[in-house]
Amino acid sequence: MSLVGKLIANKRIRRAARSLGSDPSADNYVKLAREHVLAGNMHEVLRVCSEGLQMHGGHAELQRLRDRAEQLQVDHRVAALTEELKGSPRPALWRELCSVLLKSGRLERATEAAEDWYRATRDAEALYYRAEVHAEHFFIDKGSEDGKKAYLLASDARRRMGTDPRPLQLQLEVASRCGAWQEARKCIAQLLEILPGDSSLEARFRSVLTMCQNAKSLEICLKDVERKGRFVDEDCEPSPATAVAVRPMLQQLSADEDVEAALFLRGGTALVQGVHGATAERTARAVRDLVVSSRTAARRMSLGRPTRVLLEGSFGSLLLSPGDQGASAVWSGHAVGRRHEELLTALSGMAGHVGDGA
Amino acid sequence: MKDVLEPLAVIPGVRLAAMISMDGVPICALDGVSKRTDSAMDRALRASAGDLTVFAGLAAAWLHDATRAIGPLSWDNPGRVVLSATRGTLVLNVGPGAAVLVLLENGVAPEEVRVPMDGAIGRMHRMLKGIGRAVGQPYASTDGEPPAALPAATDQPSRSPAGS
Repeated sequence: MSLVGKLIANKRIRRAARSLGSDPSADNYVKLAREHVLAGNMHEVLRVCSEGLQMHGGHAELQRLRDRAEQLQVDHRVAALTEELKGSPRPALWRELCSVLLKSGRLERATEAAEDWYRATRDAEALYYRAEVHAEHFFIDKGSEDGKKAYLLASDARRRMGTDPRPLQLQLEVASRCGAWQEARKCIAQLLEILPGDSSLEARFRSVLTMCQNAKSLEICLKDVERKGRFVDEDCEPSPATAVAVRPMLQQLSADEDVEAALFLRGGTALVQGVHGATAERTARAVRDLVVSSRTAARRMSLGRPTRVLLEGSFGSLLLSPGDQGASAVWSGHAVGRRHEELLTALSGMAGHVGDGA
Repeated sequence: MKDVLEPLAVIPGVRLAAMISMDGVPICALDGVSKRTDSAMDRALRASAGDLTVFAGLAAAWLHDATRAIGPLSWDNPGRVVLSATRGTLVLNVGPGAAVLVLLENGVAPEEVRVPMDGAIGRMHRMLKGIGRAVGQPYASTDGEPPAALPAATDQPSRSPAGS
């Protein structure tokens, strides 16, 4: 940016900051953040957005700006690291590259980076990062193959990384989430050898020990997770707090003329608005079957975790939003509008925050 | 048959456009323009879903599952189903005896292929009508009437009475 450009940008930033000072509204935060975007100050964009979100939590535009700024920062760092690796490849750079890619959720790029690292140096830590990528895939898609690869790669990495607890912690997470308690117990025992006296590990060891009897093998547990589309720690009924928070949103959804029914399902419980009695039961059952079959189909087709399912026909439109711990759906006589879709996504998102908005 | 799918396959973001029978047998398939790059999704598809036959079977099975799920509600069969997931989106439009399947890249909205898919279904309808006409060609040459078992009298050269 030229000197004149910088002067003009600074003047605009000062003006936006003054407006924000006199009226700290979300729109003024957005204006100031945009001025920083134009000036190319990504750190400032993040700072302003974070501050704005503390005051106006959940503001869509501020969130979008913050996400975009974070993404740009990651892009710049990844590009810089890739360039530096070409000239001077060393473990610290590979490690940072893999970590940054994993944190930003770019799993395919992280896989490639870890594989390149392993090919170049045969470093055990590269194996660990490959295991971590597979574990992330497993946690997202719940595919047994990814879970198995993560466990085996972490096991290889553990043998070669000596007293580094990370591979064992990864193995423990995979085993615990799928309910393979025997393997989890072994991992905790080995972790306690590396980290003796860790009170949280000791407590966990005792609780896992009680679940070890009649525990299934890792392979069976992984298959179970793939089949059910749920981890063992997700097998829980909604708390009353969730039901209270969900109901107003369901009522808001079903208030529209076009909407025939709005549903929220979690575990064996269904909250239905719009239809009553046997029809409500049938609709809830149909939605549950659809969620289950969509999860299975998406996994088998390697599409990952389903985020949205839409059925259209002479009955109108049925839109489902399967969340991690619950699913919401809306049946409309006409096409489902953008507003309905946003509400539905928000509703599914609430499933992960049990205590919110009670 | 490929003419039906060609306009779909050239849309940016389309990985695969295919026509499958209702029992999951692929009839015809075209790789989309986005398939030129060997992305992770393609690798994943190759690794686990295998080939098109498997993918088509799984898609049709899901369509059947969805139809069966809404059956108790006395709803008609769905005409269009969309499954958006973290690694891509599957869109199925049900046509006469077959379905048009489109696999979209992650981030591409299914609405972007709605009209082209409806167009593909329309082309499929026209093509089937065309096949019907081609089979009935002799009928068409006689103004829609089936040909007579014996030559008609009017086809014979007329003989005028002698001396008249």
